[in-house]
Amino acid sequence: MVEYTSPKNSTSPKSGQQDAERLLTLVYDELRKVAYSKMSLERSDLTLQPTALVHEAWIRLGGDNQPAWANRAHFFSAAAEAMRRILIERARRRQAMRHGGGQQRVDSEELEGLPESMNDDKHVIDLNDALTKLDLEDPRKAELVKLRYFVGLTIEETAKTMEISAPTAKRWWAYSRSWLFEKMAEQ
Amino acid sequence: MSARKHDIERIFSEAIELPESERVHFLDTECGDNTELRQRVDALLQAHDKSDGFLEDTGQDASFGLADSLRDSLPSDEMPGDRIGRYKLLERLGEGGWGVVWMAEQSEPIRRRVALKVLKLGMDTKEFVARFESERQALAMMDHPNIARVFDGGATELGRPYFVMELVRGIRISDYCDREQLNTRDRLQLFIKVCQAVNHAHQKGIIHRDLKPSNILVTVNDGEAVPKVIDFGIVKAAQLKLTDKTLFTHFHSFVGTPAYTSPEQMQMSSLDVDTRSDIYSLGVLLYELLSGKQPFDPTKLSELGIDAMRKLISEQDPPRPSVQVNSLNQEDRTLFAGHRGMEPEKFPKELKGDLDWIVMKCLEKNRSRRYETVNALAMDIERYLHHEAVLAGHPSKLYKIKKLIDRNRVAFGISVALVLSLLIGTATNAFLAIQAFRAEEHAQEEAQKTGEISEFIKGMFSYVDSLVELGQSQDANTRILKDTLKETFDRASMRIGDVSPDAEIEIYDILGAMYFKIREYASAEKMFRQELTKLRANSERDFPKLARTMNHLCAALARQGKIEEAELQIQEALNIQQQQLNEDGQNVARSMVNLSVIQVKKAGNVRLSDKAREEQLLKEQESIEAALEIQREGWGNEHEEIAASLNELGFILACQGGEKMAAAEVVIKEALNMNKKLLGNENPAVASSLNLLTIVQVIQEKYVEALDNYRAVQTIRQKLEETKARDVLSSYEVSVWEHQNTGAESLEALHDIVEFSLFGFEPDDLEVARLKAIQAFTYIEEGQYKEAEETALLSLAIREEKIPDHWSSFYAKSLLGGALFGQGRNEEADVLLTQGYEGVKARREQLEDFHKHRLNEALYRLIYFHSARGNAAKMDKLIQEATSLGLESPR
Repeated sequence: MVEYTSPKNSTSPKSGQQDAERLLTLVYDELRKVAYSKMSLERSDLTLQPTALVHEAWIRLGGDNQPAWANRAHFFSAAAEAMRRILIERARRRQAMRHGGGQQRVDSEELEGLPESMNDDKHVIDLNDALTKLDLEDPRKAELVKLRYFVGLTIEETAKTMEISAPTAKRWWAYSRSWLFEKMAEQ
Repeated sequence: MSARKHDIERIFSEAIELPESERVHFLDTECGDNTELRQRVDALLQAHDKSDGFLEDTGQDASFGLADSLRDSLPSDEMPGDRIGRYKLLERLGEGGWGVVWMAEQSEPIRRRVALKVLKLGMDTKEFVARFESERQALAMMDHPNIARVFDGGATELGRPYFVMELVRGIRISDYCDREQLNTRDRLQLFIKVCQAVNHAHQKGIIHRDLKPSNILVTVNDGEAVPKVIDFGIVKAAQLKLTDKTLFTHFHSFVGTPAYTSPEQMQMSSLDVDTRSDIYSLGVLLYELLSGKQPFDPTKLSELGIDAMRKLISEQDPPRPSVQVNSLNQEDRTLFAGHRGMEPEKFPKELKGDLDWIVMKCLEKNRSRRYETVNALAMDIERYLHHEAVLAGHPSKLYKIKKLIDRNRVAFGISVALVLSLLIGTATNAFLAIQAFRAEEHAQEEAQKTGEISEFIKGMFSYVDSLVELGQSQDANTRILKDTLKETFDRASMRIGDVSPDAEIEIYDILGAMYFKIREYASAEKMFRQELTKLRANSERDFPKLARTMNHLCAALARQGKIEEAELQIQEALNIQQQQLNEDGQNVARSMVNLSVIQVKKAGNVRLSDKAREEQLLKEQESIEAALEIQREGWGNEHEEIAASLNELGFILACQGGEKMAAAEVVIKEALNMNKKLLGNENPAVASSLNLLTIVQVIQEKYVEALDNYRAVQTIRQKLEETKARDVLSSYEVSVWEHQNTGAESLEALHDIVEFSLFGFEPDDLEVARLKAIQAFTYIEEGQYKEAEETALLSLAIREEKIPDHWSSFYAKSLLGGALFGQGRNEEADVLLTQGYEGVKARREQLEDFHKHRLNEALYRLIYFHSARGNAAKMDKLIQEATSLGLESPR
């Protein structure tokens, strides 16, 4: 599991860890709620823009007035992690379903559309595995990938969030992409 | 030697910036003999070259997966047969934005079916229940037939909040209106009921906060549509769903459907939502009910992020409903109009004005500019339904008068038309005006004897009184009057079948006179002909009346240039009168004068030898002199008709020229003085005499006097109806210039006024050319180039025909060029724009001050043309020219 930055005002590593996990859950829930309300609103022709979703969750959770977050960057980290978890959980579940495993009830409706997204699921899982490895080697770059890929932040936004320069962010991004691509090709 | 992570990254980063050809050398230098390092970097570089597109679609892959993931991870729903509290779920009725609605059965304390809504969003249940409890008291106090009662609330076993309310098995108000094809009035009446319900709640201190069609259901009871507002008080109870109070003091979630949510509700920071937020939502609802569309396109809204959405709703003014309808594609417009049982063409017109204003007042961004209360909104709609001035409306006099007329049109029917005609003193020829007036006067006398018409007259007088009370002077708007006349007359003619033949004749008489007054000569002719037919059908011929009507008909025909027919009528009238022993001499005299006028006119039309012409004119002169003698015998020396006859005599004398010119001047001066004395200085008849006098004096080269008289004519005409429309117009012209960018309202009003002003002019009148040019200008501004082309062309045609060398002809060319440019017809546009500008420039000395900007306009239209086509050389040259002419860029 990827560690993520704990709030700046936490006193001990341990309480920081708990805080982080609690906040993560919060973000996770909030994203689901936002997504759900959007889905109900927009019905079938649903496209969820992760950036919009995360921003909305940010606002719903109190925005800049929210004392639980050190800053927006802190929140984005949590959001990126939450997004990653949401995606990976589903991909794993569906893979399990496809291979006949798992305890879940499978009905035809749920299986609809599976063939098309098989590659997607594999892609998500492979990417996650590669990302976990990158995280072990270089957690900051893994963080950058999550912000870019799961939250959809631009280079500039990512740089601002991570408090690095834009050229650095760009360099890291090129490097991480190649790194991950290579790792995924190996598998 | 191992490969250090830092080195790998640095070398990789630098290498990818290099061109392919330099890479190998660079790597050789950097890695040296460290093969592991070299391998790692090479592998990464290979991956980099192959990874084109990898992860780059940030968001896209993730987003689709995300949507599905989230959907999958939602908790499973309750099933039929499950129990929630003391309620048994029977049937799933539907799913809303944040909840599932069930039909459920309650067994105690009473057995009844209820609607049970389970909220889906993971809100804090305890908080919801607590809030619900605090709301419960208030909710219980609401007792209104159009509000669904809320009975109960609580939490499910899974911890989700629910509430229970009156079961309403209706359909959304918008769907109901469409299904039943309710027209606008019925929709408004239904909407008023909704307002009353919301108002009731507001009085109990309860704000809905989420009014939208799916929360207003319509059921039909005994054939009557009953709207029910559901979910009252729920939003508030559900709103502050804190998971951790201490952490989230400012937590304020976004609930509601963005399209219906007021700007202040969109601002998360503001907690003080009040009743006016509901008014906003009601405004959106009304907008949708009337136009078929929401103010903001919901599809577009949902594509925006929350910030953009908030910005849009807080800052952008939606189009007025009528504009929205106007911009519908044909298919939608036909469909929506069909839902309203209406012709598609009438759709925008129905919403324009009052309804636009009412809706837009609800949608004001600043809530202090909305209606104060829902009741005020409902009352304004009532006012609209009763043709009264709405609060939301324009405070202009014009508007109030129009409303007054609308109202009285219903109340008095035809009488309003009579009043209107009295208010319009438009006849230009004094003689014919008097004729028309006489007819009217006479008709009124007769009418007072006739029961059917006396009502009209009564209504008419009260109408005049009310105008006076309002402080409206007579010049209060020919435009509106004309607008309403036609419809009024149509109504009147429909009623005619019900009245006695005598009354019918009188009505035709009145209508004919009125049409004559407003210069609708063809319609006047029609009326007088009808009257004649009826008169002739009477077994007892009323010969004096017959002859008089023929006189009237003659005047109407003459005005249309139908001289031959006019002559026939007047001849016949004279024949009849001369055969009647008891005929009033004055009537005969009138016919004689009329005949002479016709004859002279005819003589002007037909090519005659000088001698024949002379004889003819002399004959007419003598005829009028004879008529004058009769008139003087009957009326003494001073009388309006004597003055009118003198005028005609003067005219005939002048036509004969030579020595008679001096005599003509004397006679005309006599007519002028008599008119002034009898009618006052500012009168069409005075203007007419003055005009004639001016011509006679010019012919005699008495320029100094002539100039004075000419100015006097202009002054009078300016004060009279001749320039009424023009005055209004010039003020609009100014406002068009001033509000070029924001003045949609004034542009629209301008088109109205132009259309109206065109009424009463011959189609090739220069005034028509002027109005069309203004219209063309605004059409170009609005980007409606087809219309611009049409109007500019008309303007140009008239001017080229009549004043080909005037600056305005060239200005019209420039306008036409602009219209064609807008349609991409560049070659034609080039010629016209250039000729137009050069023409106006060459005549710039002719331009009056208030027309100076036309030169700028023509120039900048040409500059813009060249700039759009990338013709920099021409552009620069023109800009230089502009500078040397001292022209500034128009806004």
